[in-house]
Amino acid sequence: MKEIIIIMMTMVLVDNIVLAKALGACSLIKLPASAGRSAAMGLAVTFAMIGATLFTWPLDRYWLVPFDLEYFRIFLFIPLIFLAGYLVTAVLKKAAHSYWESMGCTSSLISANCAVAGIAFINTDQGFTYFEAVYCALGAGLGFTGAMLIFAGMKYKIDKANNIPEAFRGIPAYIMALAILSMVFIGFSQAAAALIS
Amino acid sequence: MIDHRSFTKKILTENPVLVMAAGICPAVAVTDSAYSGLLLGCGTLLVLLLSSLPVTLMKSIIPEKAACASHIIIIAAITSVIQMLFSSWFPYVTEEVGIFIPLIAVNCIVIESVNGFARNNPALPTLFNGLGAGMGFLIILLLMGIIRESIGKGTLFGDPVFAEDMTLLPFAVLLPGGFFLLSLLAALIKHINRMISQKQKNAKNNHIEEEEISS
Repeated sequence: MKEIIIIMMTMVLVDNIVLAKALGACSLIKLPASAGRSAAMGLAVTFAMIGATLFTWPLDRYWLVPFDLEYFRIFLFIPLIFLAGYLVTAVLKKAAHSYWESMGCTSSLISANCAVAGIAFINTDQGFTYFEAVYCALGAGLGFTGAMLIFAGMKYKIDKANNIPEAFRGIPAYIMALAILSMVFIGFSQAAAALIS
Repeated sequence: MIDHRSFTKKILTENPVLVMAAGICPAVAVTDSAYSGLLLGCGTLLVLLLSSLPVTLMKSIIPEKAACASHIIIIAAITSVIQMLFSSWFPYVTEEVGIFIPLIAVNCIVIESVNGFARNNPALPTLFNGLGAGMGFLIILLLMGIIRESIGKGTLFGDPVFAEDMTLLPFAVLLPGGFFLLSLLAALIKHINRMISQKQKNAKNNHIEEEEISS
């Protein structure tokens, strides 16, 4: 239990997948500034991460590693990750169709997300057990959702600001804001790491 | 002529990283040394070219329903091949780049140009489009790798840049430093693009005025 809590705290606070590893930064910058939309996207990405780990971890541990087939990893994992993203989108569309339509989220935004694929590949290298791997995916998803919500607020402020230099408007300002957020987070994560250890 | 123009457009006015904000994750996370930026850029270029060629040649055979799935399988297969080649040719750099080599397969640039462009266009424009997008990505990665490594570590491709063992700004190697540099480059390219479009507009206006005067 204690290990699971430590893994989740690490994934959310110390090794945050967006702010400490830069995985999934594209979707943070591309999505429009709205808290509801960010939360929905974060939720979907969390489910996709868990789904992808559920498929890929046993495949890796019980088939690829014992038979020395690690070079098949990319070829098998990428379609499975896309399948997980597709399934999550299909289920969410069925469950909350009108809400999902109004979000404008497409399945490609979830499947072609570096964060989802990254967590499936990271999980295989860390020597986790099955449950630890799933909780690691959950923690990474929560970290992604948190970063997304914080960044939606920053984006809202940036969009309203009218004294930004012309060349920096839009994407350059978003990336700069992400740089500052990431800098804040690195300082914070060192304090959190000291606290956990 | 059209092919050539779309190639240059992809590098400057429609640069995949700086203007379309695709593939920011690898562009920031990998470029702490020039070698790894170059390796990942070359890998993405190769995957882009090699996977859009079969897709564009087989677009009449692959049915519409199975298009997305078969494209993903093609991309995944080619990424595996590239990863195997790179890990046997450049084992140390590949180790350094780590999970970002498999992540080429989910790179927005690759997915978009294979699913969107290669599916609907003949072979030659697809190749030029892929070459342009890949080169745009490669140039940004190499530029960021060179700047960050020389400022942050004081070396360039592993060799020291400065006479003494000194570093200017170790912050540049960290993740926030990468985001800062990317933001500055994006602003620069936006400024250049605005200047170019303004110049074109001025030239067009002058042309119209001249015509009016002459008439």
